[in-house]
Amino acid sequence: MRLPMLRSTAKYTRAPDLAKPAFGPRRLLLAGGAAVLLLAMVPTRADAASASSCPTAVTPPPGGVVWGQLCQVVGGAARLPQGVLIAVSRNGKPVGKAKTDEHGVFAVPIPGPGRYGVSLDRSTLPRGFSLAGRSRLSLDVFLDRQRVVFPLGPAVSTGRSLGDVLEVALTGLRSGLIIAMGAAGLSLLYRVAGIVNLAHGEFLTVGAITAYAFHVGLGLPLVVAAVLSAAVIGGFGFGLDLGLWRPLRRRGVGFLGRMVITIGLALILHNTMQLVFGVVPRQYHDFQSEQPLHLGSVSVLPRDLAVDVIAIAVLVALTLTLRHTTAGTSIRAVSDNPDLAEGSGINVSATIRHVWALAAALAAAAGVMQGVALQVDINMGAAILLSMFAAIVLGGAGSWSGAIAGGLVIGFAEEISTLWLPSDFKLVLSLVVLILVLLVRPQGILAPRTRMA
Amino acid sequence: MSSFTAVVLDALQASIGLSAAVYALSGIGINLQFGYTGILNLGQVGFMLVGAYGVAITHNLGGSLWLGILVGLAAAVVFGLLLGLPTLRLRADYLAIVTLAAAEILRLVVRARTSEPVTRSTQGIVGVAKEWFALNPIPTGRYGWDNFSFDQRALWMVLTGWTLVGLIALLMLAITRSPWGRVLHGIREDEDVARALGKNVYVYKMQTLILGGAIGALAGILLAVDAQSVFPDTWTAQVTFLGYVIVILGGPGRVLGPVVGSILYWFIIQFTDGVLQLTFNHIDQATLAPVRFIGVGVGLILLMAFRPQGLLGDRRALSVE
Repeated sequence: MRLPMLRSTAKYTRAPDLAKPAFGPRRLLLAGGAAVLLLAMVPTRADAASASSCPTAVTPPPGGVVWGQLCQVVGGAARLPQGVLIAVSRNGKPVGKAKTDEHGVFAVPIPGPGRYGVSLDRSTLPRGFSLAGRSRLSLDVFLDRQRVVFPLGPAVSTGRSLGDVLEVALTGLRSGLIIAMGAAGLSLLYRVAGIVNLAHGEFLTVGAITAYAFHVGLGLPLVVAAVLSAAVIGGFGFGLDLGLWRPLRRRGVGFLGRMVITIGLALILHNTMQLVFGVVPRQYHDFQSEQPLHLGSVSVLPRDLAVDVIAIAVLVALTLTLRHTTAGTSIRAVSDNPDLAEGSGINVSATIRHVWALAAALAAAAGVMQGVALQVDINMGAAILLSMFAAIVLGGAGSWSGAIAGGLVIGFAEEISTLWLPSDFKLVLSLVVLILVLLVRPQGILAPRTRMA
Repeated sequence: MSSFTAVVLDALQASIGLSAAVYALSGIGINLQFGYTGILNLGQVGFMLVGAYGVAITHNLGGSLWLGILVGLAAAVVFGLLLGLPTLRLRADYLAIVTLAAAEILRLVVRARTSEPVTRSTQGIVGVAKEWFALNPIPTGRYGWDNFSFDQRALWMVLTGWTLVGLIALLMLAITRSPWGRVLHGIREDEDVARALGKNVYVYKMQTLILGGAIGALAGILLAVDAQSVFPDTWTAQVTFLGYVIVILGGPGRVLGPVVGSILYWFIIQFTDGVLQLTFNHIDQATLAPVRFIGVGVGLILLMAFRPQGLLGDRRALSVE
């Protein structure tokens, strides 16, 4: 424990050093530096996709052949490369070769149906031509004749303009802010209530859908609906503690038992949403037909900028509340040492209830923002649950300020990774981070060095 | 025959069906970890996936079913090591989070378009395990009575499944009565005492995670053999959660807990489905499925609150802090 046992209870009212931010200016600077480095490593190239006017209908050559036509639009005109070498093989053994004729057409005779490998010799491409995809393709021939396509043109996957990269970075910042809001609540629940809340993702979803109900169902403006949703879900969190967790605390349900109960809670919330809302994703009606703002080479939707600003405001308000109000000080005291806090006259049970309300409201707000930035669907919360856990492990489990910093890093890193990796692998990155941190520094990268049991 | 009798017969059939056997098997693995040793592996479905895809990918590459089963089990051991190494020295919740994440990520990776050459992505791998059905000695026909009946293929799989469950349950019985099993009890009750007696808690936990995971992989293989195919979206976290419901329903820390839990769970589910369908004429699957899962969630919370020892009861099994 960081608190010496003999510290006077008066310290609990306004103790500036009670919960130091887990990330000082130096660490933030490091993180920022790393981000700049990441950006600098991105290959940048501004290429515009050109319109195609290549012939589509070509008469196939007769006989059992693998054939095709090469064509590339260069300077606005379709050009057909001549003399490009195409080789066909089967089970690694060469079957035949051919060069393209003056129409860019090649045809390699084959013995019959089967699986063939077809490769294009890049070095024989005339000057000005380039291959957009792979130079080696695998081809199943079912009848006697099969066409194979080697798309020519500028390579599509490597070039990116600086504007694209900055837009991805902005998306990463937004996703990081949303994860941070969720993770802050998750971490407070963990530390104060001793609950690993596997239903936390569902709180995001419920928040987004409640706002949808106020907004589309009752016709309220989205901003009003969002505030109402956060209030209602915060109240729901409060009631949940009163009706479910307080009785369970009295029964003395163990740590693993509480975790299993959150699984039950997640099942109930998720499937109720599925019944009420359905599985089809929907959009909020407000702010749908916005024109993007152009800031230099970056274009961004005003609603996305608003999400960023509001999320930052919420996180600042959270920090101020925890640091400078009586309720916030109680929360930090219980999170540091529940027994000592109880001994100094803090009502621990009521504090836990406040944390439930706070965490649920934060999650609901994060859900609405996620819904504005993307869309509302019943899997939206569950999809970022793991990122939230990665964030709190990165920031040092139980430190709310660490969770916020961890959330920003995780969200940013996930989006930036899509510049190199297929987007299916975004979450893999979070897991790799999670496991590496646990192996190397289980108390969290951003947390002060403490001993872990 | 009245339609209510039909509902009861359907429910009875489901209670000894292949799903019940698969969940009983997976539950035995969960029980070893959660009930006996007190570690929370929320990625059991990941082990199942690894087993099933071990069989399917081996099949795709031209290997036999037998080789595939070995590959699946070996992959489960590797998966367990990877998960256990960073987490088992830390508090219980880290293992839970990492296993939950890892299982979900395995699913995302096998369904990713990038993995298509190996896993066939969302198209799935079909046509596996023909060898097992070639061994089927049961003559063609229907066996049983009315709604409670199986054709020769289903009967063969049900017999396979429950034989496997029986064998593994016997293994569990032997294990938990061995000195090794007593150490597990010790770890569950008080890790520090076990450590003070010179037991390497970390190694025991690792062995439990891997053995329970390998049993989970067997359950996955059973499912893949029965369906003769694997698809990525079968393997969601809900499969793990249902496993926990079954273990807690039956009674954690009891050899037969998951078996009884699974039989009972599938009876209740099929029975309430049938009754709902009888009561409300036009209820469809899209409504029925969420209603069923809400019921499962409520049941789970009530069980944990009021009877955490399950039906077969061993209250101490949950005194883990």
